[in-house]
Amino acid sequence: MESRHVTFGDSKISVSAPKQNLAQLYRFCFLMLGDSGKAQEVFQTTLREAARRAANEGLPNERFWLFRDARWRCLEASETDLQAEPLEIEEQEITAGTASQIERLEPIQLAIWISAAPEPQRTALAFFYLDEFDHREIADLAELKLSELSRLLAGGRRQFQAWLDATFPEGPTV
Amino acid sequence: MKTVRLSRRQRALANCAPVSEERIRDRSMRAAVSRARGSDEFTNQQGFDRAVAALVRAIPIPPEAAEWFSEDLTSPSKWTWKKTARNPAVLAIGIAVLVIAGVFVFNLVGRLNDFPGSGTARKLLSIAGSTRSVLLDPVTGDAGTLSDLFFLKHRLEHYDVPAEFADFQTIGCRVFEDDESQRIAQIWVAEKRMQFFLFPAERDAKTGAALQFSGWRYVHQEGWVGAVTERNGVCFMAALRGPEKDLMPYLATAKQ
Repeated sequence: MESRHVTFGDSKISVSAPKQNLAQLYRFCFLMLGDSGKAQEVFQTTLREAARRAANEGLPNERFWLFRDARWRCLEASETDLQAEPLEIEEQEITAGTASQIERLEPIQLAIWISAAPEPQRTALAFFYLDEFDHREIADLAELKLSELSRLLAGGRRQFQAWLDATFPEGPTV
Repeated sequence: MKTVRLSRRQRALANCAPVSEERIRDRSMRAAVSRARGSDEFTNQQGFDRAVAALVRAIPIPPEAAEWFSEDLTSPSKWTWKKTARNPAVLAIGIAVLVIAGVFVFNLVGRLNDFPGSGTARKLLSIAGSTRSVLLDPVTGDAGTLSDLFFLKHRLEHYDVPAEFADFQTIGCRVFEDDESQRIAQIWVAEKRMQFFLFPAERDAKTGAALQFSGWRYVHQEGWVGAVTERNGVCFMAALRGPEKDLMPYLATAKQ
């Protein structure tokens, strides 16, 4: 794995994360928080803390620790936000034309939708659609069993389809 | 509409099927995906997942965040050299290597001036520094005439004072054995309280032949300087306390 470095004071410290993963780390924060400013804040705090730990006690000998750390920071950051009341979310079966509906979206719309999902579905969807991890890694990072992960992803797809149908009521464009 | 019958576990796995094929790393997931692939439901799911993943990939990275993994911040070689140089262990090793190299160069330079018998000559310079005139037998006359004395009294052959120093007036002389049982002739002359030494030239360990060298060679020890030459298997050294330049005029005059 290519080693990356972040600055802390005068020193630059390896965080053992490839360049691609740091971009994905930011995207993860963005999907979790649905806000670019908050995502940047959590992303930078995560890397600063990683640099501080590298300088003092050393970095954890664990894969994806940076993502795990960022996840907890995202959860902490969103604790202070207004929380949606739990309610029955409408679900719709995925259709063949969904892809064209999704193509009409902006990334921020997707991020807002995912960030509004309840935990741990929010984490599961954010990790899954990064297309960076396999199902075991996602289950480990989100602290879920395979059956729970499966249920959350399947439910998330149907709920998102329902939201798409509500957002683009005229149906998919060809 | 095509449907496929899947076990409960296969359905769970198919729901978690990664967007990219290369993320399928275990056999059970591969089998579940392979079985589910024929169904319209799974095809729609994959189309949905690919479209969402493409949207995620399109999330722009703000410049402030990109700075954290930009090349100028992450140049490992630049960092490595600075960091390595600051490392105390590397610093200590570097200093040690420099000291060793310095000692090596010092010894090498010293060895470059070595010649056969230089070790004995240095020991004799130490003796010159500690010798008092009362230890020597009083002898007056030219230094060049002592060759006969050494031969007749001590059976020392070829213990001749070179022509350059033969006319110097002697104060005293003696013959003694050094710690290697070599017989050394020591002469004290009036000129600048100079001392002459005659001693056997260093010999080849295998053949026993005297190791020869041409001209005059200088040695230094404890503030003394000696000019050494070798003739007929015997070395002659003129020694005085002071710098090399004090001896040079005698040798230069002799050459002319």
